[in-house]
Amino acid sequence: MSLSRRPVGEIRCLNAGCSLYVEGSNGVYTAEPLCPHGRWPLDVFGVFFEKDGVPHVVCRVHWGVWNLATGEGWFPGGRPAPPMRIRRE
Amino acid sequence: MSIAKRLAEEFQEVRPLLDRLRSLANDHEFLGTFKNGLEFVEWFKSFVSPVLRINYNTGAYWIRSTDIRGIVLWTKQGAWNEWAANSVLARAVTEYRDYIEPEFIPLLSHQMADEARHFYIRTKILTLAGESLAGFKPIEKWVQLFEFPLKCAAERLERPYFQAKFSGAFQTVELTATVQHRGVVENAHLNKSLWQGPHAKVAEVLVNFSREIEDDESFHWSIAERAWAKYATTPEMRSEVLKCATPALELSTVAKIARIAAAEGVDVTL
Repeated sequence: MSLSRRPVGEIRCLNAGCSLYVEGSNGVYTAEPLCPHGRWPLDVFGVFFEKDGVPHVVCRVHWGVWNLATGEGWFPGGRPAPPMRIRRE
Repeated sequence: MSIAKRLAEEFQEVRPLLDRLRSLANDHEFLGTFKNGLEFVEWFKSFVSPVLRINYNTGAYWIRSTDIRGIVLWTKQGAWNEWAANSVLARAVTEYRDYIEPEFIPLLSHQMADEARHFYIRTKILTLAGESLAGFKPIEKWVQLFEFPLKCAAERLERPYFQAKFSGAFQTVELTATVQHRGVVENAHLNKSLWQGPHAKVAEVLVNFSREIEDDESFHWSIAERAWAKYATTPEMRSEVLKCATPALELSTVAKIARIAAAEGVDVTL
């Protein structure tokens, strides 16, 4: 596993649609802006990190973690989290 | 640099966002694009997240540099706020009882119980610090903030507009409070001096309290989500919601900065 520099996440809204943009070391990842679990804005409550070149986000409200390449998520202990809607730019 | 001045600069950066929100309140074509009330709720939370970040910072920056005097001033205003919030709710379910949707009465009652508990705990914190609320005069921005929800909602004295507008103004404040408390909890450990000396216990109790009420504020905000998901199904209703939520969002952010400015003894332009 390699942990590289921290990705940066930002919510941008265009018309009635908002997305979370995360700039990783190998591109920009786009996802839904709110945590799939508690629906809190991830640019306020998210912590972004990269694992093996893939950006992830942790939501600090209930500590769910999501892979921004696949949308898969899990909670501490391995319990599955609701999937995150993603779109690769 | 003064924390209040730093926050005031950050706030200036989101003024265009608040102006945009104000103009969107009159854009019925835009407001008609949401498929349902829930989509409107989620858009609102995403759209205002830069303002929420500033509210987080009002807790985070403040706790990193404050002292026991700052905690006392913060808590005095906070205690007054809980009392004021409770008063607003009590008026809503009595003077405006014909316009409150029945399903929300238990929720508002639950919030009233929470605010009363928050007031109780804050006054206990003051006692622990050797202080009390006696003689306290609230900051004018906070007085305006708590006068606003019923004033705004009463512009439309009909069901369910009143409920949706009241939630827009009153519970949006809770949304900003949630993130502020999180800012305090996540950053308190960085202020080493707070955890030393005779007042360390006061700091500990404040942080524990902030963690406790963050959950309560989150629940209070969810009352608005529920009201908007149910009633904000037309452009007209969404417009009415934003006309109350936007000023409340702005005023609650400004009031938080004003509280820090008052404690620092600085003037900031907001």
